[in-house]
Amino acid sequence: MTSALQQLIDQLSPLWSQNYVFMFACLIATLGVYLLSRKLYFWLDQNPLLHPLTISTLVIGFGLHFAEIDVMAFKRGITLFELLLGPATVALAVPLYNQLPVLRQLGFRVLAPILIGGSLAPTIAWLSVYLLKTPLQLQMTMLVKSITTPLAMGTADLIGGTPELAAVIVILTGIVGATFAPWLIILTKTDSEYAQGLALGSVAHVIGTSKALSVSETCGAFATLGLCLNGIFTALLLPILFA
Amino acid sequence: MTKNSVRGICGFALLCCIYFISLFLFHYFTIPLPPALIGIFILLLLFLLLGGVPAAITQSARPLLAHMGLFLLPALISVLLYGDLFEQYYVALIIAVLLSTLVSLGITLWLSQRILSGVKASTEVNQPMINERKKMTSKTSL
Repeated sequence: MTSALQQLIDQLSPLWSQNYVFMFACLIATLGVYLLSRKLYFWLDQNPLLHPLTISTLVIGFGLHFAEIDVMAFKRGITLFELLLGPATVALAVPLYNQLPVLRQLGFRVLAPILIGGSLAPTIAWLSVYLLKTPLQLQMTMLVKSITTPLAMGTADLIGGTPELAAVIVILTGIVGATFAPWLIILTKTDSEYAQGLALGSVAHVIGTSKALSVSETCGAFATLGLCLNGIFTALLLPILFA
Repeated sequence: MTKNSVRGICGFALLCCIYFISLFLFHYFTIPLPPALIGIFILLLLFLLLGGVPAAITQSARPLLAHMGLFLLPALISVLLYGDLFEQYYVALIIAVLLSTLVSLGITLWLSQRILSGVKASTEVNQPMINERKKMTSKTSL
């Protein structure tokens, strides 16, 4: 009981065990960069290549480098945001619950593409890094590429991968998926909105879902379903196989 | 406006509580699942028991989900620390991501089209989320 509590407290401790001014400055800086890059993103019509996360990371990265601030110290400073990822992920239960009627109605028809797409992506990715002789840790991290970032990070941790790298890979996947989706849709002659949404959500998760939402409500709804279900299945299956 | 904010704050507090509980359960029982997933299940169970999503949770979920990008920045910044691993294997990484994403997206699209063409879901997308979605489309960060 106490060790579990102790671990919990350790996770929260950066919040009160550092210079408050520094922490505040880090938080404000990060928030500022994030909001500005979001404005830029929407101003430029949501081009996936200029995603606010990529721009923010680059800006902060360069900023830290030139101001010669220790990356580890800065990261401790923004622990508050890191911790907020938890409740935000739990909040995914809301869209999932709202989509349950659809799942109940269409059952297997929606499950099959999600399961197949959700297992294809990691398998091909893993094969690629395996054949190209990369370290085991990288290979394990690759396996979580098809689920949404917060779950991917948690799962990567459990199966011996690197959570932060998992986040990057997942976001890259999302960007690649969202960018090439229009062409692939034409190539595969996917007319059905449901099909488009489902595929986008399962393979390109949150970024794909945004793209799906720009097509239509229904497309977005199916994407959300794909995202949540694929996330759950993969996050359940991988630890059982590899933890 | 303030009523919604109060609801939002209550909902947020509840989400935090659920997250802490799932963190605790994760450590105490060494459950092989990411703590956030445990939290999702707890919340889902709560919704099923309550027969719906309480307004407080919807109010807090919307901004949290819309701004998830902000909460992912700490992780992305950490990647700067992994620069070496990255440098050595970035070719493999890029090939793996590009290849797997394009192939799996293509196949999933094709497969979904085969399975779902001509199917019409007669259940309406739950109304409250439609308004959420409209706002989310303009504000979703991811």
